[in-house]
Amino acid sequence: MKRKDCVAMLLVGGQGSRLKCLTSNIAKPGLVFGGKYRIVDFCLSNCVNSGIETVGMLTQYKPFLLNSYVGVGAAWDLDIDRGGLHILPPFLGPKGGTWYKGTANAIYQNINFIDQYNPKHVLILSGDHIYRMDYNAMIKAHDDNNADVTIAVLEVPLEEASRFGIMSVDEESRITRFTEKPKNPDSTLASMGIYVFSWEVLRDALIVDEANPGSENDFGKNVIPKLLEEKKRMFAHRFRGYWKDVGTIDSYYSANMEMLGQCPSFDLYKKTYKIISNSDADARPPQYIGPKAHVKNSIISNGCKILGHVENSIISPGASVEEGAHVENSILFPDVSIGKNALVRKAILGENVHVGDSAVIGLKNESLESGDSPEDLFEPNGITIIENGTRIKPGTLILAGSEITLQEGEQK
Amino acid sequence: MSMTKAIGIISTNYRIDAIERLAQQRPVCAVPFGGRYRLLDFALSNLVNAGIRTVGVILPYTMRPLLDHLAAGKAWNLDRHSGGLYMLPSVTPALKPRPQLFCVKDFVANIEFATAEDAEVILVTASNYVVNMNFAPIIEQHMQSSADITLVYKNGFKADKKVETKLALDEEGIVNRIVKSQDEETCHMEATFADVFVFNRELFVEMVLGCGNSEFKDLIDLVQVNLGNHRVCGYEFKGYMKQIFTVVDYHKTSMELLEPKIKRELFDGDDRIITKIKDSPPTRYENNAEVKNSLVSNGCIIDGKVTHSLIFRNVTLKENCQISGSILMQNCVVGENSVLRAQKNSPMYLPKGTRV
Repeated sequence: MKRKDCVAMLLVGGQGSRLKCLTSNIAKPGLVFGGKYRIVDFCLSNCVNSGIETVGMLTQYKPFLLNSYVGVGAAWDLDIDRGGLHILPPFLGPKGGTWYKGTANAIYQNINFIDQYNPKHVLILSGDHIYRMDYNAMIKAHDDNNADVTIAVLEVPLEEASRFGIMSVDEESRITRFTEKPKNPDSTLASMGIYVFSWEVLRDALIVDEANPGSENDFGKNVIPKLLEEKKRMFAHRFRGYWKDVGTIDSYYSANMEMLGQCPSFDLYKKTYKIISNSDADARPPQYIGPKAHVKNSIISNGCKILGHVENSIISPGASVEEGAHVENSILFPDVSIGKNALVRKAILGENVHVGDSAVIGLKNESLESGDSPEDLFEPNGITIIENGTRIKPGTLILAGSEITLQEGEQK
Repeated sequence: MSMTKAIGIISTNYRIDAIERLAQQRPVCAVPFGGRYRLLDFALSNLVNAGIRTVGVILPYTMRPLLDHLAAGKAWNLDRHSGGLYMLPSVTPALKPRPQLFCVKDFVANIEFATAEDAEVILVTASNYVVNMNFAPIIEQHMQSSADITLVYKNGFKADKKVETKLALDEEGIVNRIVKSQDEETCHMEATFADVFVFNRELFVEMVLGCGNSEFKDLIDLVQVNLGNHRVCGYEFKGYMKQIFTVVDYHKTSMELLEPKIKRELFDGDDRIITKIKDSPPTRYENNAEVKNSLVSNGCIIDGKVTHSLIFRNVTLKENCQISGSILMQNCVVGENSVLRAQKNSPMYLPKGTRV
């Protein structure tokens, strides 16, 4: 087969446990984002916008909805022969098999897949970041530097640096030091979890790593430090632009809110490097805004019916807000329905959640008589989250910062 | 879904002068409608939703916008190995407005399409109707009543300034007379033909090929001539249906979409009207937005006041502009403080890409 210049390997197997019940039934990259999108759209769009047409998607945790969402990759024009989108779950071979033990092991288990394309470069991506990036520029820098490994880096505030893989570089951007989540960071260059490897270098490194019983088979913890130790040519590629890891309720919520406003931090409406989605929003009728509705500073998708008040919110396809209802500072997933006179404040409502008439979601804690609910049970920033499919009975009051899972919801 | 094997033909090769302002550059079937659809989507989706997987489209003379819209039929799941979407070139360029919706000569030229498949019935429909019509029960009734031909009608149906085809039916639902409403005495007849036929396929082939010198006539005239020789049944459609014949029809029907009941029937059921997918971001409302009783498509950025209007895709409404009773086609931009207000009984219409 003709040699491919670059194969992208997209890691989408993570649960995203810090997102709590939002990811109870879908891997984090499959989560709804910004109205009609899902998180994985951003990486897939970056790939095809950069001309990368061979993408392996490594799934593990709850893959069904994610698989059916991306399908054969047709929405991204990845339904092609000689390349295209491949879904790569863990598998059995003649000698058995294992789950993907770590990010590096996941790629190791798919060495045969990459070999069949025999690419010059392999691009390793995490499917849970919100950003727009031209990977080509990075691959070109990799070639210009005659590099073995190139890591995309972002300048972060010093106080946040200990959450990332932090590196120090020389004046030519060659990496001199790499520390995964350092306690006392001495640099503010953070790894974005985007790596370009020369395939031969990566292939050898993965085999060595797999043979090491002490390794956790993780890129950041094991493979990258080992290659640095071996004095491989490793370079940092600076990214300047919007990039967000949406691993926590807080960061997921604020990344969504950053899509709002006149000059949002991330512009979904840019004509070039468009974010492509396979949302069924495009199969739905236009949104209807009713005679008594108030809609301000919000994003609303096709198929919605808004009869009440919506402010500072993200409303996904097919959601409905009845008359007299107020939705503020909230994120509604597809097909959520909000009953008459209900109040929803600073909440994330999963797909198909139904909020009954006059229910209140996000009741302020101080409005409760006594402190019978310990504060630490709640999200510190007061974001209420409700699991997919939950039905909240009419008149129910739900405290700000609560997490309502499907069963709890049924009982209420 | 009907188990009867059926194929469909959509006729698009006609030009309606009355709609000229909307359709100067495009055939009637390709006129944008309802925020994100084109008129043809209704006929095509109704066929596909009834389980019909082989659809021929008799192309209009100005076919570019239609070909662009249909492509390989992917949006309707018609990019298939077995069956799928067939483009049937017309042979009678409808440069001038003419009354026929179904010119027999176009069927003669494309008879291959109807002979190649082993389907039992063939459903023929026009493409300028706004209707979510389930064809499956029509085909089922056609089979059960052992009809040779079934004609769909709606009682009391009237479009603007149009000659209607009226049907007279007996108590058993057999059509015994077909007349044109320009005839004074018949224009009060209740049953108006809805431009949907079901034929036994073999009869259709035989009738079209045997048309002799009637080939410039309309298919309904052929049925009329053969009324005595075949069992022609009526099927009453009771749902919402509008034919787009004039600009008045277009505006009136567009504004009716703001009535929740009508919108629900057309768009919110299990059988969706399908259109070509254009992947736009959701619509963003900004701080000065004030939108009431309007339909808004994806991809818009709204910072003005909008009432009682239809906003197509990717429209930008700048700070404090005021739009009421208007239809804004895709990519329109309305600048700061502009005011667009409809005249009485006729909405303000801004063509694609207009900048105000």
